[in-house]
Amino acid sequence: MLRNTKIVLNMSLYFEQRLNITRSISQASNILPNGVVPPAYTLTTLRVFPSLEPISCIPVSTSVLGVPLRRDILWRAVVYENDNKRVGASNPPGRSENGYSRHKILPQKGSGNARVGDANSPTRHNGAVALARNAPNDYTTILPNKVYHLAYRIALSHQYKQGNLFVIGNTKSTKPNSETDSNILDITINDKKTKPNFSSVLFKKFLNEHKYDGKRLLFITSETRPGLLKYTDTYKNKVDVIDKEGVEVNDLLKASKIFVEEDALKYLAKKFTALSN
Amino acid sequence: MSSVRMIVRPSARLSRSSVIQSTPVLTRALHTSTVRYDFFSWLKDRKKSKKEPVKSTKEVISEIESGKDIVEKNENVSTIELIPENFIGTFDKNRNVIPLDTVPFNRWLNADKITTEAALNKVILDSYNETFGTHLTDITDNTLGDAFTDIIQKFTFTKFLQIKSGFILSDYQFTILACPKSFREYYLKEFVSGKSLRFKESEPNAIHLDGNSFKAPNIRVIEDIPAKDVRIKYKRLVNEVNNLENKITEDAIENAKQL
Amino acid sequence: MMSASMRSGLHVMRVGVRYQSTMMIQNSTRNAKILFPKLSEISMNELVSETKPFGKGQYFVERSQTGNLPVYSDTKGGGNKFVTEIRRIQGDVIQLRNDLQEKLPYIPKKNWKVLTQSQKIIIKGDAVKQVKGILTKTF
Repeated sequence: MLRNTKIVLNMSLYFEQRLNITRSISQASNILPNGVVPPAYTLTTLRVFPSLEPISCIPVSTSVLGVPLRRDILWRAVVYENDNKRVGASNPPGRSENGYSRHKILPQKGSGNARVGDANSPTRHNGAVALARNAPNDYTTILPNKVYHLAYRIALSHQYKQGNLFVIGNTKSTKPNSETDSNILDITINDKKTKPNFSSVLFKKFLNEHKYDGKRLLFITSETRPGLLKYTDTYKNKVDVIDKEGVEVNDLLKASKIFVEEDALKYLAKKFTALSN
Repeated sequence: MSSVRMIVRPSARLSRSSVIQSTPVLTRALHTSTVRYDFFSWLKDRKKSKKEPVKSTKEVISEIESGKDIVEKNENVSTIELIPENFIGTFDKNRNVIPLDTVPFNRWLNADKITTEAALNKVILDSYNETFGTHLTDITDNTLGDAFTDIIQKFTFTKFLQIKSGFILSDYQFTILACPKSFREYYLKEFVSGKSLRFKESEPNAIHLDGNSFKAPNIRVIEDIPAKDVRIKYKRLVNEVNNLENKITEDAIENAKQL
Repeated sequence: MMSASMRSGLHVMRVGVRYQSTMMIQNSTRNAKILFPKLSEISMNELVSETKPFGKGQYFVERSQTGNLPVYSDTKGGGNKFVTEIRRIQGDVIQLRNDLQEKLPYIPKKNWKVLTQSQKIIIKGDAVKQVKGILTKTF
């Protein structure tokens, strides 16, 4: 009989040994019936810009694009972002700044009305604001980083599930088949005076072809893309072009369609899963 | 409301309470301005263009008094009036406008979108045959109910399906759908039925009712006609009636004249 | 048979295919949670699919980084109240509570509490060993 055998057990073997003992004691029917291992990955297709033709597909962890929707967490993140955007410039006059004189309007007794001091009183409709806060006011709130990171991933997952997320990239980094396409979110600037200058109309053509006219679009780029910025300038009311560091949950949720560069998506995935295990 | 489209660096625009918060949520300062790339260009331009030195006032006055600044009128020069006949060419506002039809663009989707089930069946079979090298002709074939085993083959099949049908499939659906049969059912429900074309972003969960929605005889669905269409039709009818009535009166007048 | 298996320390009994597969996948994913794996490294059954839904009625309890079950005890109310807490639950928490209640019928139902916002199950009293005994079979 082997005694005190020095067995180097790794975790799985330890559990399986324990299981041997417990199994012989209790029934095997104690396995929970609805326990299922959740899926680990989802697929995204890598496309070219601006035609959005799919080139290849890559798997992405479900912790990035497969997070179940939690509207309460999204609400918390959006409120946090909006609070921190507040400038706090409101500067209403207090009764010392309001402008009326200190003169007592009615005598203390005898008029029949309520007693009244000067016209600056906050009880009066033309009076000052009571306990007025002066600019600059700080409305910033704090949100635990883990919650904010989770909200970010929920926003990405939600847009992915709705079919609004398009990843631009190329695993093989080969040149696209078409002359007008590129592997990055950029339009080459055409400085030459030769006509016709198709670069200037390419973005308009892109919107027209995919029927995105009037829709709010979000372009997340890994580096500054001057061509894209220049040629989307006329659409700046509806089209956001933001570097990967500057994208917020608000931007992700407000956009009808999101176009991300592959490197930018990898950066965001790494950043917003860093705190979760 | 305009969106802020500035290029943001991590160091820029951290809020004043950045000490408290560690996530660099970027705040808007009171001022925003465009990023100037050509900051030093005005200095360079100023250096380049060295005009001739300005004359001193005394020199100018002496020239005027001596009469040197008078330029003699050249009799050969004729003045033309600013009337349309004296202009060469026509004014075309759209001279620099490039029509969108001429812009080269990679159209990888079929321009004709499928609308019938038969067309969809053909598209599914063609995509499957091209991917796997088979020669299936029947849509009820059992092999179409087998799940895909290779991701790359699934991707090829889906790409052909999108190209031939003319509709883009979302990445999520591409991952979820397991066999060609499910692809067919999804396309039937979403695209062939016209559901995707009726989709409105502001009302994503809208329910569209029509005469076939309810089988019970006591439920009658009144078709939803957009107000714009109602107005157009009404105006057209009114115009027609007016024209007819005008014609009648004209004819009556004509007849009266002839008599 | 029990002694024989205990004697040969490294001899392992395969319990059931399901348990084995969940443990193996847990081990592999715990060690290397890759965000962007290569397409050649993954298989079709690791992907989200309509054939294997994970939504209403399904749950998963993830083990901790050291490989232990996430069942914890806590004393509240100045030491008067002893509770058992099950954390790290993904999916349908209420379904898990129902299934656990079936397996542990001697814990009265009014002792069970589900916190849906943070996806936890709280059991009044000390049920750590019993719950671990149930969960260890599946997760």
